[in-house]
Amino acid sequence: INLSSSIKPHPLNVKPSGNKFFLEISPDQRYKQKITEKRKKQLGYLVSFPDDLIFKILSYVNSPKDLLTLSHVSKIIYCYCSNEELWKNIYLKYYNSDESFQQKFEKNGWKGSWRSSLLNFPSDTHKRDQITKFLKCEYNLLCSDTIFRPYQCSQINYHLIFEKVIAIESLFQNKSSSDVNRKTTIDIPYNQVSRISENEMTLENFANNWTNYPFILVNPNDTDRKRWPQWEMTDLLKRFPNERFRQESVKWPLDFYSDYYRKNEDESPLYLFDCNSDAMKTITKEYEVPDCFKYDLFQLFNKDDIKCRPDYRWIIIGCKRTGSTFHKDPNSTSAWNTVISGCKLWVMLPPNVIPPGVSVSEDQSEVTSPISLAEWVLSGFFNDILGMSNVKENNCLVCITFPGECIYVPAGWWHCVINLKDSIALTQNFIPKKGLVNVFDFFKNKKKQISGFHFKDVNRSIKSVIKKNKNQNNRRIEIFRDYLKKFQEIKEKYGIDETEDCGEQYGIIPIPLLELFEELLIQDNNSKLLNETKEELRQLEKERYNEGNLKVKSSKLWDELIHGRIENKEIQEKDNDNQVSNGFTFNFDESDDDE
Amino acid sequence: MSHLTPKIVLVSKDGKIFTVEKEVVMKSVVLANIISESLNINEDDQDDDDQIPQDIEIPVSNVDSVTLKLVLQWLEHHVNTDFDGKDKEIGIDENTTVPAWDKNFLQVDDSTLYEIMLAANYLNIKPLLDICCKLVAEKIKQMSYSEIRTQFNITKQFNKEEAEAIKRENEWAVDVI
Repeated sequence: INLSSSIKPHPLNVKPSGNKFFLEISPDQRYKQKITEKRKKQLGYLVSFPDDLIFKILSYVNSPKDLLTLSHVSKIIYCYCSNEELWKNIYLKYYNSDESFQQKFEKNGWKGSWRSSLLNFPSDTHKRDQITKFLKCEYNLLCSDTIFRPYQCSQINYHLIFEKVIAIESLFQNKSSSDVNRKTTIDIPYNQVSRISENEMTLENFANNWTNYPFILVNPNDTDRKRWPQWEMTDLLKRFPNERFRQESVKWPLDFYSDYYRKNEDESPLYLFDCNSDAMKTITKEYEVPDCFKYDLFQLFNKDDIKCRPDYRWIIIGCKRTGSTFHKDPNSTSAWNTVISGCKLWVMLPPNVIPPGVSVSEDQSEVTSPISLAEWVLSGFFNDILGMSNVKENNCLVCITFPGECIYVPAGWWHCVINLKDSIALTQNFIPKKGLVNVFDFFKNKKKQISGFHFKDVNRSIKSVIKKNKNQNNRRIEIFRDYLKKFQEIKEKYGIDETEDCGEQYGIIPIPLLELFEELLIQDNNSKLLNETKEELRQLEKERYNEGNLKVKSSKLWDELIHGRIENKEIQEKDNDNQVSNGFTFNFDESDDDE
Repeated sequence: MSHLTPKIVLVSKDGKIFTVEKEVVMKSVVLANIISESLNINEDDQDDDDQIPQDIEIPVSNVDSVTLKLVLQWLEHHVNTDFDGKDKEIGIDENTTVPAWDKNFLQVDDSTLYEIMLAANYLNIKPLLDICCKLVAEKIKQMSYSEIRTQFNITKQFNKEEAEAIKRENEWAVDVI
């Protein structure tokens, strides 16, 4: 992809940091002196401060009035204060502190930027600009990437950048890949995601062949587009104008969000990701889950009086430029995602391949994405992906989904999504049959990363499970009783917020989710699947252990800790023979295979 | 460890020498890194446990002696303070107040305060930096814009159109919080 682009100048004429060099190499001494003097006069002591230090000070000014006064102190400081992040943080702080502020802000309305909304400026942005244009900085007076780069990212033109990918994917829109490839040969410079007709993807086909690999469901014969809803933002606005949806850290009514949607200057605009609104309760009845995805083992957590399943159904609305940076879906679940209107660019990588531009902690529990999506693309990481995509073994996939297309994201796959247009989508997380072993592995070995469960609901469900179990001497029931007892003790001693997400509270007391899942499967008459899956898990762990062994090098630090400073060469040599002597047990209780 | 810990010798921009214990400067990420690098190198070279290690000399060429002295005083006072641990009272973020000792210690004139900030930035002493930023922010809160200009020593006057723009923005900000 071509990353060079030209954009309009920054509204306040701030330049990238690189422009500083034009000043330094300028042969015109008088000009140099003039600019230097101007900066000194406008910044005073702050002239020797680096940008991020100035922003640090500004970030502690946390009332709108004070920040406004500060911004009027000089033109350069006005430019520093124009940073939207500062105003956004203050806005969110007040918004989330008290309902009276929420009401006030919503009454004032969205004025096109966080600054103008917080200060409740008049709505006519054109008229405003005519007046404030005098506060612009002259040429090269302020060169700051901290201000310029987010602006540049907010102006990103994905249509231009991804022109080629869009052109190619459009040829496949709503058709099955095999059909298209039969009729024409197209040179595709990336690994595509196959499009398969929904009719062909039976539950059997999916369960046997496609559980661990992405694909897109299409309906080539559905010319009237009846298969999926056809909402645009205007349709939803007509139906739910005042309904509150969740947009990350705020819960604006839809009409407020649509004003924001239409005009904002954010590098990463707020994304509407909602599952709990009343509107959602209606919406979930208006579409049909594809047959192949209907078999969902997570349903056991939401059946009869067991009601502790994490949130799993969302409507996603985002203006263009929104999206998600690389992540894996929670609890090792799989997901499907259908675009209702707009279009999304997807980049996917298999579980064991680290995405470029992202740093991941060793156990993959923490993902640091210091870069916004736009920055990620502009910095060239997307081109890296294309490079990886050329090697088929990397299994690095790129695609675009159009309205009516339903993409399947297997558990554990890295994925990042960019909305190329204003988009509306529906998505669900679930556990397919062959995906159960991954969830078991996750619940057993990655307890720290479990999320979405709440103590209150889980504990209630566990109690219900205990009651239903005929064999009260079952090992699992004992574990449940122990857990409930310990929970009660800790609650009385330290107090626990039972409604908070368990992921935030790891370390207080681990929840026996694996045992719960096992028990639910048995009570659902599915012992066969349970035992098969447990055997699969044993195999998986065995392979992992063997792989790990081969990679062990003798560690000097470990040796020192165990044996003190190695001054005696004899001891050292002896140790090299006993490489992996510390035992590793699987902790499998064979009496598990019951009933 | 059977050898004595070496002393740290800091040399300011204007050549003055300050000798301190290692623990004192550990809150400066920059100095801590330099020290641990030097210690690693020294360790590799040492064959004999009893050899007295050399003091580590570090030039701090961006900071003058007056400022460096103040920074070291602050570091010595806080040598045992745990800023991001369980002692959340001392952790400095938006919601915490600046401790009284620090407030008092930093009651210096403006230019000195800014020099300290620059030094804390250069040496990467986050707690000191956070405290200073918070103090500056608190100072300029409630100030009018001409008072802020004095605070920062900003001397540029606005021309007619610029002044008008500012006046209008203030008029638009109706009922601001």
